[in-house]
Amino acid sequence: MNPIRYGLVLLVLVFIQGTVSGVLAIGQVSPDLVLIAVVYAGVRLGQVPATGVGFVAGLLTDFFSTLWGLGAFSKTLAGFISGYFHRSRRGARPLNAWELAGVTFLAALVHNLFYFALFSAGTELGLWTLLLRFGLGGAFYTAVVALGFGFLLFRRGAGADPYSEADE
Amino acid sequence: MERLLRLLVGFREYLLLLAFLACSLVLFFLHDTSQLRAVRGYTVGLVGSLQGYVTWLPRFFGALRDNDDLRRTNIELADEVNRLREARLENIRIRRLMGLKEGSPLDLVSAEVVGKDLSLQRNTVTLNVGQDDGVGVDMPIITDRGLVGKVVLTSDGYAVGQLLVNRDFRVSAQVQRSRALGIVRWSGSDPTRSELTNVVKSVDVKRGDVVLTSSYSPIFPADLRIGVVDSVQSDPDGIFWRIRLRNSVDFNRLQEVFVVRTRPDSQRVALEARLSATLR
Repeated sequence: MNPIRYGLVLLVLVFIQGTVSGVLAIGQVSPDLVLIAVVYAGVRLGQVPATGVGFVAGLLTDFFSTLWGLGAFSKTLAGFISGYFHRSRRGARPLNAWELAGVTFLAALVHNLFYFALFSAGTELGLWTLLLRFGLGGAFYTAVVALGFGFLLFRRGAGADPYSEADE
Repeated sequence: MERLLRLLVGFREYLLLLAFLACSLVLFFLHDTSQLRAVRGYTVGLVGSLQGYVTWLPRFFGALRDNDDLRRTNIELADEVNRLREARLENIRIRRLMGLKEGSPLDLVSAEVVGKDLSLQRNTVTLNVGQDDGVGVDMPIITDRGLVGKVVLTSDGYAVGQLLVNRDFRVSAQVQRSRALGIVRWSGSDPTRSELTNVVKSVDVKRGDVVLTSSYSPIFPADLRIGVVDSVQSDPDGIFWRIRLRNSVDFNRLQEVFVVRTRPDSQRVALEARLSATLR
């Protein structure tokens, strides 16, 4: 996947996230589709590209927010963390769907922790309520969606490495 | 340079992360929101508390240094306070002595006690005045409290005084109230007490009576305070009272005195000497 395709996918996901993700919301908790894309970039491309992808994706999501820089900050961190699970660091074996979901959960957890900590600062919003409900719940929901995404990737790859560079 | 570049490349993930995070924060801080104000507040608090943890070490060494300085200052101040106290007490004593000197018709020369021996039966003091100051043998030594003794030995710059609390010392005395006459001497035991002897039982003497030098002494001027009657006892076998006095002068704390520059009346002394010789 070349950078332009990545960019386009990100744009679409950001648009979906900013407009119709509410449809997928369960008790106001929505999955972070952009974050899944960032995590995917991380495990596929490595830390350096994923950090950049996270920053750009975060900037795009900030268009839908009043707090500029907040999305960029937290998604940069998420990209960096997910890049840590690139196969160059783990040996040759690619992540399976469950592992992808696990990495997504971890990245989303860190993402949400910083996001809601900064988001709730100086407001009447309770940080712990936000973290438990939206932070933890959102991370779990995002991981579940990432799991489904992982299964789709494996089915499409039919046993081949879904993160293979040949795919690019 | 090449090594630096290699180092930077080695840490490129972290450098990139820091750069992007910094950009994000710059964007975040460009907007003045309540969140931003709170974050700034937290940051200031965090930095302040970190500084508090980090700066304890220099403050600790500073405190040790201050402690040493304060100890030194404390010693200096304590020393100064002692000296000031001493000066105040000396001032009080000198004021009293000056009052005595100014109000007295006697020719007085002030002296400091530079040596004292109160551990013997024949107790003496050494004064820092001598013949050069006009001090001679048999001159009375007094303080504002009363009679101290008399000069028994002199040099150019020093004099030795025989104290009232000396077994060899005798002085003619009288009770102020009843004018009863007697002789004061020291019993040799307690330096705060003396005895008034040769007072006949027919004379009225009470506890609390003040005892002064009499005018019968060729050496001591009259009406110098010697002490106060402490107890009066009747001697069943004799005709005299056994009278104990509480000395007016505290010989243990004797520091400044006056020497009365009077010479005994030579005619009187000669006449009394002749009488003594005749009776012998």
